[in-house]
Amino acid sequence: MYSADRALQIISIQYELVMNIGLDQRLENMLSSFMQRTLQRLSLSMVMLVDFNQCELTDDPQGHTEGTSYCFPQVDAAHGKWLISEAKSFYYRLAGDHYYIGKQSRHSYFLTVPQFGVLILERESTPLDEMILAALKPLLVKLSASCQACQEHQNLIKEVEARKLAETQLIEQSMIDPQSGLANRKKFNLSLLSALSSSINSKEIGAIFIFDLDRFKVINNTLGHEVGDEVINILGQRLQECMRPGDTLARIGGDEFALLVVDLSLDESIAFEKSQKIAKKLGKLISAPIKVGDNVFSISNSTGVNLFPLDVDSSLSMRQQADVIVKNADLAMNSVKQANRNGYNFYNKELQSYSQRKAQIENCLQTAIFNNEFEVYYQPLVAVDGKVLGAEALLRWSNQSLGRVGPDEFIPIAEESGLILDIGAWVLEQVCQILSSIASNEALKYISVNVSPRQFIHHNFANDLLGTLNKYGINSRQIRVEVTEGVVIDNIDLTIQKMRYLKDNGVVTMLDDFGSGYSSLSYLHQLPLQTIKIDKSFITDIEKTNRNHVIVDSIIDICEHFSLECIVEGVENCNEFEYLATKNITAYQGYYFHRPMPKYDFIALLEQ
Amino acid sequence: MGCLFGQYQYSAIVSGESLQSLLSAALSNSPHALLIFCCDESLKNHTFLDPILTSLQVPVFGGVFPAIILEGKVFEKGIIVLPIMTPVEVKVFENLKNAPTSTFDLTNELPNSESAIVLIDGLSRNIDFALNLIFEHYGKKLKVFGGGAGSLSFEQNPCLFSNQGLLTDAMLVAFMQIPWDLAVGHGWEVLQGPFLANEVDDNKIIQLNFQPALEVYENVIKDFENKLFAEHDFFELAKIYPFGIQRLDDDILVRDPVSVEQTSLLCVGKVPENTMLYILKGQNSNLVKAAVDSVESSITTNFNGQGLLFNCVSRQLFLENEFESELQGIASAMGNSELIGALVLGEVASGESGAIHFHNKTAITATTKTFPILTKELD
Repeated sequence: MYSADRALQIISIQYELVMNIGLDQRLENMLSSFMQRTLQRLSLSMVMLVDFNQCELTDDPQGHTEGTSYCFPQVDAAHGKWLISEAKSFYYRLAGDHYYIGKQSRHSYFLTVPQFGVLILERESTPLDEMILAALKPLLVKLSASCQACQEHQNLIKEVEARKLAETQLIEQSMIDPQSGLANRKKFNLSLLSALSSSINSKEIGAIFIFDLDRFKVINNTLGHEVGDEVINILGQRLQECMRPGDTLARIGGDEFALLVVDLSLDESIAFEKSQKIAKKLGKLISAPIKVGDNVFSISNSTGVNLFPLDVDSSLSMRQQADVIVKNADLAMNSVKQANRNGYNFYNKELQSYSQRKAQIENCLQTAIFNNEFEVYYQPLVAVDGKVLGAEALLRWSNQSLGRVGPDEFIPIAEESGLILDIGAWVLEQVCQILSSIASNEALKYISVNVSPRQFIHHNFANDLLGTLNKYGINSRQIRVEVTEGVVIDNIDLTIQKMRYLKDNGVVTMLDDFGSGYSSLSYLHQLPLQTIKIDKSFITDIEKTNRNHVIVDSIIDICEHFSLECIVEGVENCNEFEYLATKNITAYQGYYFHRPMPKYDFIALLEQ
Repeated sequence: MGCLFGQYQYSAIVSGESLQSLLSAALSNSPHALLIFCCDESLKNHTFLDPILTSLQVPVFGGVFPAIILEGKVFEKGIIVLPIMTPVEVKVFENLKNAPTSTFDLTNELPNSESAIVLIDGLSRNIDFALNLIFEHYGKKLKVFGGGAGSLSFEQNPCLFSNQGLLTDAMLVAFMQIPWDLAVGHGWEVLQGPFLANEVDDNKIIQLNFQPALEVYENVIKDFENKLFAEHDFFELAKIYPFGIQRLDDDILVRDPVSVEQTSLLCVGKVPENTMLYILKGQNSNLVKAAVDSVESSITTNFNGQGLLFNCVSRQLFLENEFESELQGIASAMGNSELIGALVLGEVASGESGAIHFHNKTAITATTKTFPILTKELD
C-alpha cells in the first residue's frame, strides 16, 4: 500500500473510532458501541475492556480485586479468566503501554487505558502492525476520560436513586402507624382523595367506615397500655387479612380506625347493601374473642358509614369533599356512640341537621358569657331529715335565637370546642360569689361544681380553683368538685395526682353518676375520693325493681367499706325516698326534695 | 456418512396444490427440516401459504427471492423444497425495526451447534444490529451464512417462510450441528475515494464529505459515465458503482445503493457513521474470477459435494449474460455438484475473525463437509 494510502487508512481508523467514543452516558452502552466498531474496523475476533478504576487496591498487587470486564462478543469462561488475569498483571506492573501475547493463530494485545484499565484486542491469523497500535494510543486517553465520565454519571444516578429511595421509604414510613403497621390518617386521607377522584370518574360508589372500640380505655387503664397495644395489633391484623386489594384500613386514633372500600357498585342501593354487610362483618370480626396473656376480650365497636361520592357538594375542592365525607362518617359514628354503642349507622340528612345545630350552638356559646346568657341554678342536697346540707351548682343557658338549651346538649359541645374552660371558670366565680354572700349560713356545708374531663385534665385546673377560692375568701371545704367516671378513665394516674392535691388543699372530690359508666371497681380503691354519687338511673323506681336494690345496696356497702360518703341523686318520689331512708346514705338529691332553683330562690330557701 | 440435503423438489408453478405436492415428496424422506426457496415473481398471492406452513410438523425455513439457483442455472419462477437430513432448530426474530429496544432470546436447544443459516428480510432496518447479537452471543464458534430475502421492487412484503407462516421484517436463524466452509468473493475494486460518511442513519447515507450524499455520488458517476440520475433509472447506474467500506486487511465490504430518498442514498445494509467509503467499479472477469477463486480456496479435502450459494441479485444484473459463467465456475470448483441457491438482497457470512458481515454484491458459497447421517426417528 502506498504511504499516502496508509496514512489515510490510519487517520480514517482513528477518526472513525474516536467518533465512536462517548456516544452514550451509560458505560455499558458506550463501550458496546465502541467495541463493536473497533472489532469491525480492525477485523478483530474479540474486544474486551477490563476496568480497574474502581477496584480496591492493596499493598500486594496479587490482592487487588479482579476488576469489571466488558466484552464483545462473549468469550468462554476459561479464556475470559485468563485474559483478565493477564490484564491485571500487565496493568499493575506498569510495564509500558501495550503488551502482546501470540498463541497459535491468535494474537492478543493488551493496551493500557490510562487511569482506567486495559483494552484487550484479539485477532486471528494476521497480527496488527505496530503502526495501527500506535495510532490507537491517543484514542485510549479519550476512552479513559469517557469511561470515567460515564462512571461518574452512573455514580451520580445511583446517588440520586438512593436518595429517591430513601425519600420514598421515609414517605412510606410517614404513612404507616408504627404501632399496628396499618396505614395512618395521612395515608388514609390520600387514599380517600384518590378513590374519590376515581369514583367521580367511574361512577362506582365507594364507602368509608369510621369505627372505634367501645370502652377500650378501660383495657388500657386497668391492664396497662401493653395489653391495650396488643389488642390493637391483633385486631389490626385480623381486619387486614380480610381486606380486598385496593381497600385501605387505617388506624387514625388510639382506638379509632377507618376503612376505605372502593368500587362497591354503580347502583346506590346495591352499594348500600354491600356496605351494611361490611359493617356487620366488621362488628363480627372485632367482637370475636381476643386473647392476650390470660385475658380474653370481646370488644364491641361503633361504626359510622358514609358512601361516596353521593351527597357531596361538587363545588367543593376534592380535598374539601374528602373532609366532608370523613366528617359525615364521624357524625354517623358519634350517633351510634350516643345511642347504645355497639352498632353501625349510615350518615343521613338528619345527622346533618344535628351537625348544623351543633355548629349553631357552638357559635352562640362563644358569646354566651359576654352576653350574660348563663345562669347558675342550685339543687339542694338534703339529710335524711330534709335539712339542706349542700347544693349542686347546675348551669342553665338561654339564648335569644336558640331559646333554652339543655346542659345535656350544650355541655358536650362546650367540652369538645374547649369553651368549657371559660364556662367552668365562670361557674366557679358565681358559686364563690354566692358562698361569699351567704357566709353566715352555717347549715350549708358546701356547693359542688361539675368539672368536665377537659377542665380536670387542664394543667392549671387545681391552682386556678384554689386561686378563685382564695380571691373570694372561701374555705376550701365549702367547694366540692364533681367528676364523672370518664375523667378517671381518661388518665387514672393524673386523676389520682390531682385529686390528692385537691384533697391536700381541703377540696373534696365527688365521683358523679357512679354506676352509669365504666363502673370498674379496680380503680375505686386507688382514688383519694371522699364521696360517691349513685347514678339516678338506679334510683328511679327503686322500690319496684329488685335488680336496682342489689346494685344500690352493693354500692352503699362499698362506700362503707372504703369510708366514703354516699349520696343518691334523682330521688323523685316518696316511695323511692322511703326505701333509701333506711340505708346508710349521707345526702339525698332530687325533685322529691327540691328542683334546681335560681340563686335568689336558693338564698331564700337557706334563710327560711 | 451421508448427504446434508435429500432430493430437492422443484415446481415452476407456485400454488397451494403444487406446494403440498412438493412438501409431501420432500417429507417422504423423513427429513429433520425443510428449506424453501421461492421466486418473488411466482408469489403474487401468498394467502394460501400460512395454513400450509403452520401445519407442518417439521421445522421449516426459507425465503422469497428475486430468483433461485438450481443445478447452476437461474430460475426467475418456481419454488424449491429442500429436505435437510440433519437436525435443525429454527429461531424466529420478528419486528427487527424495534430490535435495539427488544430482547431477543438467542439461546438454542440444539447441542453443539456449529453453524447457522440466517435468512433475513433484506429490506429491514437493523440487520447489522441483529447479526451482531448473534455474534455477541455465540462468538466465533458459530459459523453463520445466508442472505436477505425480498423483492427487487424494494417494497417490503412478507418474504420469510417459517412454521409461523410467511413473515416480514424478521430474521430466521437455523442452527445446525454440521460444519461448513464459507467462500466469500466479490471482485470489486476502488474507483474513487475515500469519502467520509459523516452523517448516516442505519442504511441511509445522508452526507458524504459534509455534502448531500446524492450530490457527491452523482458527480463521481458523471465524471465516469457522463450520465445524470435525472435522465436514467437510479439503480441502472448505481448497480455499476457500489460503495465499499474499507476494513483493515479484510476485503472491502460492499454496499449497494438501491434507491434515493431526497438527497440521501438508501443502501442494502448498514453504513457505519464516520466511516470512510469508496466508490467501487467492477469488471466482469474480475467479479467472476473472485467468486470462483474464493470457492476453490475454501474447499477442503473432506468436502462432501453439496453446498448452497447466496449470490447477490445485483451481481446478476451487473454481469448479465456472464453471470451464468460465474455459476458454472462455482459449480465446477465444487466438483460439478448440484448447485442450489438464491439470488439475494444482501449476503450474510462470518468473517475470518468470526464477526458476521452483511455483504452486498458478493457471492457467498457454503460447502458442507462430511458428517454422520442422522435419520429422523418417525413418531
